[in-house]
Amino acid sequence: MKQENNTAQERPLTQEDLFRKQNALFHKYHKRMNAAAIVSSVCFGLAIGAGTAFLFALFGWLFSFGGVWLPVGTGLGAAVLSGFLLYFLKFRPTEADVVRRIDSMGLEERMVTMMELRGSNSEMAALQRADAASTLKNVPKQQVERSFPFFAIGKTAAIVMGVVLVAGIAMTTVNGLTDAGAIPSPGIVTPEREQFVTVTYLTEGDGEILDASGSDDPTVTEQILSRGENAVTVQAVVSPEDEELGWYFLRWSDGNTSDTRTDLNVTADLTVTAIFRQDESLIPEEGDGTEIDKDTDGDQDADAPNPDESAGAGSGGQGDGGQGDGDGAHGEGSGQGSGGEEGAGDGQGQGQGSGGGWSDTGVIIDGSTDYRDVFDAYYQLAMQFVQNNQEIPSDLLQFVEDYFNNL
Amino acid sequence: MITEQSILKFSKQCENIFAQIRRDVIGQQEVVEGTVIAMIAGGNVLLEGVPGVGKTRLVRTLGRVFDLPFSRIQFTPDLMPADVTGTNIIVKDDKGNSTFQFQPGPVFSNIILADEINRATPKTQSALLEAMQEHTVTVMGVSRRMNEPFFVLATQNPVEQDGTYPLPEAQMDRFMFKLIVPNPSLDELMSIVDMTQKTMAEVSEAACSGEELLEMRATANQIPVAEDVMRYAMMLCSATHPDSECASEAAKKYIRLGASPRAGQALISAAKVKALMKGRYNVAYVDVNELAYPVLRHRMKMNFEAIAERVSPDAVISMIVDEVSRRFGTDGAKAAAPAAAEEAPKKKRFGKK
Repeated sequence: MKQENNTAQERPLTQEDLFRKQNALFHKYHKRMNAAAIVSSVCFGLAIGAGTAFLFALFGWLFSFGGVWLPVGTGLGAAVLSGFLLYFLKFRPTEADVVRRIDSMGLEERMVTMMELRGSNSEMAALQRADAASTLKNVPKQQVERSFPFFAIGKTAAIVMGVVLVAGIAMTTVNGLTDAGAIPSPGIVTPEREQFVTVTYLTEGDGEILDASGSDDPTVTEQILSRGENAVTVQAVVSPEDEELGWYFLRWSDGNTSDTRTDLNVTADLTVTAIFRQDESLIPEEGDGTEIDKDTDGDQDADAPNPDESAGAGSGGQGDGGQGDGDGAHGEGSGQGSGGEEGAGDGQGQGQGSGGGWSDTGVIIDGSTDYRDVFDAYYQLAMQFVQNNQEIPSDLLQFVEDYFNNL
Repeated sequence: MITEQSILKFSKQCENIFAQIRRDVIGQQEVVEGTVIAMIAGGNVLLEGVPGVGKTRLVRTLGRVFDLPFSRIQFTPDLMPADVTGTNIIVKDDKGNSTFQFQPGPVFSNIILADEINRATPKTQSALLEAMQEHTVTVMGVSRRMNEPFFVLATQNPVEQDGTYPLPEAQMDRFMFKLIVPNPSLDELMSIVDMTQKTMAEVSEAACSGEELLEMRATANQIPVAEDVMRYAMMLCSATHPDSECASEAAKKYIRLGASPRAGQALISAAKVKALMKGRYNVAYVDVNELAYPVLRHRMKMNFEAIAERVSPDAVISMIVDEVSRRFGTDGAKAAAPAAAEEAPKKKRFGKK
């Protein structure tokens, strides 16, 4: 009886002690597992970050973008994000995980059962708790260290992580060095044709294209530039000899009237022609002083239409023995002749004589005249477009077609 | 209510029971342990073994050790159900009036030895169905309750096929365990011969009464089973079904019909007893794994492929335990499979692995 009383007095204390022990044990093992979970999350996060950095660096290296900071930034971002996600979704130990791990030390599900009986004060629960505690006490320290390692990553996973980490750092470094120009870019993805553009300056008439300093540098007439680069400044000039003969710069084929030009941010192949004209009054006369009708064949001063310009009307001046000058673009006309006056502006010249010209409808005004030389010039221009893999402007194409149609 | 004293008593009684059985039965540790576990858990046992390995002797010894009324029924093809259950006979009272009086059959006992049960016709075998499951016998529309504890310990011979009637699945399912009684080892054989040369008498004594056995059962029933362990045990049972959601690959390949829910009940009840016998106050995975073999081996219907490849039920159970353990992350708790399970298929006559 006395013994029974003693047992009754001791039992609640024992249970309380066991509860305390149980909680302390649980917290101890939970801490260990949590630390291991953090280490695992960091390691896996770093591996994922390194993998991401590797991919960005690789693509940056192949496509020439990003430098060092894009792979480093994305890698760090991926590492932090995946580390957090891995910890909270995968590695963070729950209560059940902790007790299962403790049980794996040979406790034969004593801890799992004890956890389920935690709220129970029954005799069975007390016996089970005491049994679990005494069995746990007998687990050797080495077994605890083995079952709760701080670095709980498998050998294969660790090797893979190391490789990914090294690869990520290496590729980022390579990309950085490429970006800094220390090592060449592979340039294997973008074809060269797409990386460079050609700017071609042509002349029509007696004039030439020089660079900004005035020297005759042959490289300025055909410049190969990186896409988006600015072209070298060029100027269209007439030599003093030609100037004496009446030659002057009229305009560029794209309508620009400034003799100096700089093409900025060139993203596609470009061909422009500097158009030079000769002042008729300065052409030296020959023979007995009578005017030579230079327009008998109508082609001498026929100004071909500028394919870049869509509108304009003009008619050659008519003048008997005079010159006709019709410019489809501006409708300029001039005519000289004995029986007429010089026309000015919008084809109003009224000189007599046969003249040639081009109307906006592309009809050969003088149906009997073959403008073969004009056609050849524009045919070559069209061929240049074709050679440069560019589309022939519609008005130029129309011109060529109309020419043949008229023939 | 369970107390420390009841646990101690349980342990002491178990020790006594095994000590007394060892006096008459040499070797057969697993069979003896399995039979005692089934008796404490309240299940019936089917013992399968070749003639002369001590099946009947073991059952007789158990009857004596548990100090319970014991009756033996030798099953033969001409045995009738009434020979098992009993029947109504006409008796005359003092006044000369004739009345029916029920004459109980041998089944009305606490321990029934159904010797060579597969020699009886299915009709007679079925006479035991109700007694084994509900512990009642119905004759002429009157149900009579059996005395508790009630066990059927049946034996069958796997070799003789002529004149035998394989037990139907429903009957098989009512046995908690099917235990394979192996041939004794050389040392055991020497001990057996040595012992029987002196005397054939069985010397074991009663170690436990029927009431004490029921107390032991009540004590074992109090043993807690963690949810994880329960889930694992049920998954093991469910994995034997080739078409269940957690069917194992082995089941899909070799099993036609899986274990019934009775297998789950038997597994947990027996695991509680086994845990307590080991001095543990909770059921562990290892208990479940060890008991999976006697609980499941007779509840699975093997398919043609298994028969053709000579894959034994124990081998399939071993595969299932392996697979479920891996799936559940409890590989370390794998129990040693019986020797039969470790045997690889001997001949692959029909090609496939």
